[in-house]
Amino acid sequence: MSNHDTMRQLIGQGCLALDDADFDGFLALCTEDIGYRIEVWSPELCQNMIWLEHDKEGLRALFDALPEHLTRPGRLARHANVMTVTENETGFDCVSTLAVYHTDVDGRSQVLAIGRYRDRIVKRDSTLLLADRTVVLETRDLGVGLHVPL
Amino acid sequence: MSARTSDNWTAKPDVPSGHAVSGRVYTDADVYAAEVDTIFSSAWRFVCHDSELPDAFDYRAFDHCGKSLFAIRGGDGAVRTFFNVCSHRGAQLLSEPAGNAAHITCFYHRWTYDSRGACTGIPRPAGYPEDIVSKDTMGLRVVRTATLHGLVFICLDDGAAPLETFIGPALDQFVEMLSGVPLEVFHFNRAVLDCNWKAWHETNMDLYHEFMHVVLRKTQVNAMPMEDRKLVTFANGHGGSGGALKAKYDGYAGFSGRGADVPPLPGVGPADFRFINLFPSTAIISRGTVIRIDTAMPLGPDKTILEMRGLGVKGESEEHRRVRRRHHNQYWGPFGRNVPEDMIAAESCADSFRAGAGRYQIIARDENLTGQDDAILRAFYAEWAARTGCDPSDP
Repeated sequence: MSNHDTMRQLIGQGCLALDDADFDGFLALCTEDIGYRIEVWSPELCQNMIWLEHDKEGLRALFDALPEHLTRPGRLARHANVMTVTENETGFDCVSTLAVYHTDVDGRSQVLAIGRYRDRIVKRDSTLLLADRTVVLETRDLGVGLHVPL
Repeated sequence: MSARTSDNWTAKPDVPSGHAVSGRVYTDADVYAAEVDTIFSSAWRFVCHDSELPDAFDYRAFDHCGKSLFAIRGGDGAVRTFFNVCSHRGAQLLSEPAGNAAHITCFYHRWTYDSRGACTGIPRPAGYPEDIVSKDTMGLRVVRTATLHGLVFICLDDGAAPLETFIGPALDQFVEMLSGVPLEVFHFNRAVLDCNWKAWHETNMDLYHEFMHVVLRKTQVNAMPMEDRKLVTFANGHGGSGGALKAKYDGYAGFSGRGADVPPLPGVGPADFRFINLFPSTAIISRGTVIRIDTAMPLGPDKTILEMRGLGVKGESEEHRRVRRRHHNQYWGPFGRNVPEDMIAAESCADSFRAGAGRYQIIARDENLTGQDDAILRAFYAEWAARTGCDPSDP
């Protein structure tokens, strides 16, 4: 399998795990020292903003708390398309385009957000893992917002 | 105890006057028109923080009841606000939400303006009757603008009382926080909600809904005796905390230690929670280390623009900023633990009232301005009634 196909499989597994609320499954795809953040450019402030930032412990705490939170009903579907894979000394840098759809309880789907994944993927004990993810959002109006990572 | 019949359900609740709100105040087109005329055309409204206009000719464009306006800092340092509309044909002058424009040029026919709203250029002016259409007569529509403790407010009514009179002592508990150190906005989020503007603002005025948020159930509801909480209402419909309410962050996984890792803002402790709701639609909330300001602006009876800002200390270290940002994001912002839940609540109530299924909101909690008293909501609706001339329970 090419690097591109390998990365696509890992990133795709991450999308499906998050879509299915299989948060243990998602965390299993991540290194212990993963950094996760959601960034967005603010034309109002003319600066970059970070809307969510967690290490693995923070992600786990967030996932554990989700059942007690009031969340937007329905399901999310993350579509990531790996566009570039760059191999370097420590692993792979991947850029994927991202679209997140929300399907409500009546079955109506609409685009919730678009953006990109900027991922760093490393090999640990012959297993490829997500070591760093920045979700760079184009969409700034997320309606009622959400608790889960994109 | 039994379910209610149609008559029971539609009857006005048998609570004291001012303790119930008809669902029609959230849906009725005539009520909305009255609000635009008597509230948003005459009350002072927060539009941005002073730090958003750091340099001469910096501007911020924003909506006000569907009108596009912009605030701009002049070469003299003063912040002024204008309709974002060319005097010539009505084209929008500034299309970006922020920027710097020493000269404001209309893209359509190249008329130009300066930061004081004066028309400075009309191409080929000789074609106009000079006494009617000239640079001297074609300035921008200026909007009253005033800054208080770094907060920039506007008022469309040239005859309204000054901002300081309108606010009164409502901001007193925030003065040290807002003015003790230079602040700047590090978070901005704008969302359009499918609800009436008041439904959003009520989430800030209603302490009783703490029970909706698991974070507040675990960190706030039991952090201090309810009877020790002090709430306060002011003239002109403002209301908020009458001193610091407390939080115990250890109650929620991931929040423990919050406040020990960055200095609190001046005049408050890291576990202090303070809030003030300024009539008509601005809330300022502090959680010890960080401030949130949100303001709601209607686009119609059931469509609202919500702008949310997070403020930290200007010039602080990246590490402190990172912590303060985390503290902000834990509660607020589109991925915060609380704000999405508030938005769901506002839209949920809107759905019920839009269809006429829900008929009344009950705001009858009376705890002598402690605990989760609804007095702040009642003070808001008293001012709302005085301005609109409508009875909130029967508009």
